[in-house]
Amino acid sequence: MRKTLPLTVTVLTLALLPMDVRAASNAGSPHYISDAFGLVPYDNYAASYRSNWSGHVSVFNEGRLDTLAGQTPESDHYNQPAEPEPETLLVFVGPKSARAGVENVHASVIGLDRWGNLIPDGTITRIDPGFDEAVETTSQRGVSDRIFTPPTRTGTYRAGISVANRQAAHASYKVVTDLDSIELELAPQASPIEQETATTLTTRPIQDAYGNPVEEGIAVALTIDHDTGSVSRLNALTSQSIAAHELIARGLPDGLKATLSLGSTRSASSELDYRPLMIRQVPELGWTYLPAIEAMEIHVGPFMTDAGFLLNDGSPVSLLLTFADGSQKEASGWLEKGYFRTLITAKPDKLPAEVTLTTASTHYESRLDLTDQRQATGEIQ
Amino acid sequence: MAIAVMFHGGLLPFTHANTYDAFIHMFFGDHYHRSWFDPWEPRWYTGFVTTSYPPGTHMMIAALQHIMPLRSAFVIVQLTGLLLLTVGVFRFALIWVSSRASGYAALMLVLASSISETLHLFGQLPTIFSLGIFLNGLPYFHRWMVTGKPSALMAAVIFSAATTAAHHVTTIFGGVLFVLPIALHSLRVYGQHHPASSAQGWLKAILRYRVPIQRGALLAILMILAVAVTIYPYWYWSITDPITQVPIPHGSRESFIERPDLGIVFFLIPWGMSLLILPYAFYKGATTALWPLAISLALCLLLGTGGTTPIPRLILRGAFDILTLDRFTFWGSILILPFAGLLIEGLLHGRSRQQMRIALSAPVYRMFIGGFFASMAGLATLIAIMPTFQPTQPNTVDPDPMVTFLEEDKHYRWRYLTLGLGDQFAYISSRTTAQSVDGNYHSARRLPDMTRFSVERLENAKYLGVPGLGSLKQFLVNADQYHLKYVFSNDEFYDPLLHFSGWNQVTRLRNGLVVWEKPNIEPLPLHQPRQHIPVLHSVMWGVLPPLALGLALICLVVNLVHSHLCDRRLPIAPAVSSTQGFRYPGHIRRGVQALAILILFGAAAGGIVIARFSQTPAPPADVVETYFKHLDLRRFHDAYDLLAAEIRPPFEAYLFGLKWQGGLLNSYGKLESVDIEEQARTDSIIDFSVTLTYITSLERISRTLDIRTIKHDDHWKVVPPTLQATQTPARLQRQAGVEWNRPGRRQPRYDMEQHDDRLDRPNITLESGRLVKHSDRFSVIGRITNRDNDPAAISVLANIMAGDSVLSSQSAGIWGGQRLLPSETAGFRVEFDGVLSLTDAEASGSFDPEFFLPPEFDEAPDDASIEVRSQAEPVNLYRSISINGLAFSEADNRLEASGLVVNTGTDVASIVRVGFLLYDANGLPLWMDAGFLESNLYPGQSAPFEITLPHADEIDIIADIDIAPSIINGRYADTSGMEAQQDGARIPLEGIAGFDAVTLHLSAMTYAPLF
Repeated sequence: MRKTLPLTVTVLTLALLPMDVRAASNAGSPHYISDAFGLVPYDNYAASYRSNWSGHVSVFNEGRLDTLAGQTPESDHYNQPAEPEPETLLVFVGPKSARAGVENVHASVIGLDRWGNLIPDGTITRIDPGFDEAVETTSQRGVSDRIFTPPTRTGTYRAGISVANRQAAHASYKVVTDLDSIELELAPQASPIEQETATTLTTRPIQDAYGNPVEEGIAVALTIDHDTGSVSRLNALTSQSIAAHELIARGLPDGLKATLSLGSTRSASSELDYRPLMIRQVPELGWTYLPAIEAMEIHVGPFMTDAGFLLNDGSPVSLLLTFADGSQKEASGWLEKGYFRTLITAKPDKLPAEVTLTTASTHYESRLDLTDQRQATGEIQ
Repeated sequence: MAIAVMFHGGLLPFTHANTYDAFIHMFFGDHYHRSWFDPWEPRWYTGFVTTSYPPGTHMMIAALQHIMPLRSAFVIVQLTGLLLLTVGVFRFALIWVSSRASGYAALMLVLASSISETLHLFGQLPTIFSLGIFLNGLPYFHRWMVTGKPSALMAAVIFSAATTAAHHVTTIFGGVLFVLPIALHSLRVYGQHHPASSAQGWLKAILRYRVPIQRGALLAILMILAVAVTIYPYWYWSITDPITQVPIPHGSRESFIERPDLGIVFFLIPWGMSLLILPYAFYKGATTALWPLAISLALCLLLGTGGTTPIPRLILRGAFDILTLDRFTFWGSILILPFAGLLIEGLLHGRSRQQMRIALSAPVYRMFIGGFFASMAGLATLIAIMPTFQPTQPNTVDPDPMVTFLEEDKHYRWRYLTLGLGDQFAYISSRTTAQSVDGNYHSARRLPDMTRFSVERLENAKYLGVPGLGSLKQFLVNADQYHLKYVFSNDEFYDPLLHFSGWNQVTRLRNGLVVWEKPNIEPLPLHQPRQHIPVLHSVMWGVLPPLALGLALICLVVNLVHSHLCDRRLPIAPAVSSTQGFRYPGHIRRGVQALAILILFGAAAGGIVIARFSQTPAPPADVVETYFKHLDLRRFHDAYDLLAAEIRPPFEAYLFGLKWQGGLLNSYGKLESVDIEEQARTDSIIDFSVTLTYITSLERISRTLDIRTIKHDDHWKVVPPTLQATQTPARLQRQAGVEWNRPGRRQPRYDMEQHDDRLDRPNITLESGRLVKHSDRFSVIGRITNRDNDPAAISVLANIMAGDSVLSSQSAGIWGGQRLLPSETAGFRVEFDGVLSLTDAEASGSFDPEFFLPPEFDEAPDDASIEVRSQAEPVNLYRSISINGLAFSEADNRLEASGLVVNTGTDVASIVRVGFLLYDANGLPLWMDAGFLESNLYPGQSAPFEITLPHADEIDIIADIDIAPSIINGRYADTSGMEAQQDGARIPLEGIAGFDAVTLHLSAMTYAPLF
């Protein structure tokens, strides 16, 4: 005789109240319970938290365990539901930053009763997206969710979800600017850009297609094209819906055409009004011999400009002396308080010399004849 | 022994923290304290087995740790080793010289400079301890050979095992250097005890030695067995897991003529006053029965010279590149002690004393003897305290704040790395269970990145030039592969590399360490792989070494109790006992007097030479070189003294100028070389073109300066450079800005990783990718844009492939846009390097700093894949950098870009990076590169910038990468609408150097510039 499983049982029909296994058994008290976690004696089951876990439960009567082999094991079974009132609600609302008019928001909640069971199917769930009326939905397999279209107005919204009579903590999400739909335009200059000054170039207020101002901290680039083919690039972050680019007008070639860009969006080009400093007259050139070191100190200046003040400190200057014997001496440096001084390793007996003077920032080139202590001849080119 | 305790025992608590090895041994001791029988240690190198080092001394530390702190346990064990060595020297010397001479030998040991160096500079515990055990066992070797007593054989084998338990190299080489001379001496003594009769033939006279020879052979076999069995797991590890690393440079292998500084450390200091005894030792070796000992001494002297001659390499062959040769010098300084004891005995009690008193007079003789001992003691003390005036380690750092940080918020779930802590790293490791990718025992390194370069530790990276940095860069760039998230930095040198590899400063700890963190790093898995160690090995490792040590201790104690320190039962006289008087005492006296006069004259002449040399004016080129070396070492006063006094500014003004010029070179660079070329000359003025080459953590940079020197009072001086007087336009800057804060935890709750507190990963688009080859290097190039409204920290990982096989994986390092503001676009470049094997290192000889090893692939790469991850990270986003007049041109078939970089913001930009993503005629990225400004920029200041980039023709396109399968934040890339998403700030190049356009990316590091 084939040995039957010791669990061969007969069917009991039980009219059970939910969560009460001990109610009405026509054929006697149940002695074994089988759920998703296995088989367990009833006493152990009833005394443990397992008796409160939702799921499919089979009930076996010991008396039926003696059923002869060959008979189909029978059992009473039922679905143990979760408590209708959830205790824990896990809320997920995202994306946490949804682009206005582009992205939807998905709100979902997982409900668990006090025993950790998923809430029963069909549990009423109210989802309040925070900008419109709440909608109702029902749960399936413990989850309730709804996809909704947030408003096109940027801001932070707080979604509220309640399941049965239980509320969850709010879940916040943002609607952010749609950066792909913004337009860029440079605001008119308040004043011309002057050399060696700091000028702020601002944009007009930046907003998207829905009128939402751009958030703080969005990168906007300003590219300036020059007549020489070179470019200048400035970066700025948006603040109070505008981007303010600081331009320090140093080393800028002629011609300034500015274009803004944010992501793949470009603005139209704008001409910028730039006033570089121009040398007003040829500076004086002189020399002093230092016999201790057998060198001449060449001093050039003052470099006076059409703006009414000396050319700025730090302006690069280069000097080339071509002596009568054909030899050359070079020196470079920068202005300090309008003058340029340098040491040339040569004695005065090598003079006179042709002098070529170049200042990078003012497009100035001069030829001077050096024959005596101090003079200023030549012309600006 | 009392002197040893008072002198070395008094110094050890204060000096051991400044040694190289002490903390390593403490770490091993801590390992056994935590787990005696499990040799797997996960805290270094992602895990290694401690069977890679004999455990005897470490287990002693571990045992003591149960009753005292770790550092105290180390000091006690070290002092015990020294006392063992003192007793051992006495017992060893008794084999060769009289008991009085042996006593002087032991005294000389305590005052030896080699002991001071080994204890207080190197911190070598197993070296001292193992030799102490070994020397105490040598008398048993001698007794067994001569008398054949079984107890002596047993003791000899036990001591061999115990020595091996402490350090196997002592047993192996000691068997040659110490045991062979004893064997030869034992044969002689045996012959004396069993003299040949005149009736025996020569054959029988020789055959009478067969008994001791057989004893010797048996002893050798048992010694080998003891060595093999005691640390059998070590031999198993050596054979089955061979060391694949490249040779680690060690000063003891260098030529001491070419590197006299190393000669001082590894030759002169350890020999010390013993150098004066060497001639006497070889004389006695040639004329007495001490000749076997003298031969060993000569061999140690020769091997200890390292690479000064080719002979040590010829003798040691492959072992030359693995062994540290200073151990031979150390053993030589022990082998000479019997000779030293004999000499001192003669000087104090024997014929030498008599003749010297007559030759020099009694007071001078006493001065000589006193001076000799005073010199020994003084030299030993000087060496012990040398780190106080010539530091060999960074300043001591309190480890507690670091340990606390690792224990907070489960930071130990990730690996960490320390930089600039020196050997203290090992002690810090012992205080925590957190894991590091670094370690302090290079023989156990198994990570390919660690075995690739010849750097001892990543800690040491900057002191070994570019090879060390290459290894460190690999770790910092590919941090996610090693779950490396935290770096504790004690050296600002690494700041640029950390910042531009995507690391962010988090905080400065109470002990001054700066904590860096890398975003987007996954924690360590809860269950980590480990090497399988057979249970038998674990049991053997935990039982046999301490058992051997215990048995040796019992033998020694029993011997001491029965026989005091000398074995009175040993019916064997030492090799040399009493000496006769000098045959020609008059000659001796005249020789002593002549030597004394020679020494006096030599000292005077030497002083005159030194004085004259110090006053000779240095040539101008030397002055220039010295000037820049002073600056590099922050010796500002010394540098100022080399400036022309007539025209230099006051020191404060000079210092101001130096401080003003911070940045990558002056604040974070280390001067590697100075090349000087004369340009023009008069009698009083010389102009030089000086090319300074710096190593920085980013790259090697050369800068050429025009330097003028002028002559004043026969001394050449440097004309000080002046700073460009550019003026910041505003006196008070006012700028609107954005302040960021990501609070992380939004409530005072311990719960971590609350979903409600998390931000979404910023939306990143990968718009293009290419696999290219340039100069034999494979790279993946691409463009990414932050399409989100939040700033993003970005990690780019690229796989280079052949078909579906992944050949290598690398992350984007300093050539990546790691931090992107909303709507910012940047290029990235992922480079693929190879892994160096030992064979490659030998083939290429010494390392070339520009060396790059092409990766070895089984197949030719034909494709690549890209993965990008982003995380909202609102730090290090300084963008107030502009570039004015950026011009592109083609020169020498290369693309040149130059312009003026301006700091338009309110922070100091320490290092500015200008990134270039270059496009081809089809509008696809072809190459990505970046340049760094050499100097810092104060607000409103500017500096010229130039970079040379390759021509488009130099770039070979291997494959256009299909973006669709790329993984972006865990999902496949969304390529819809990609074509419309071009970079709005793209700059046209119109075919310059073959490129059609360029995307710029300007960023800056704004940490306070170092001064």
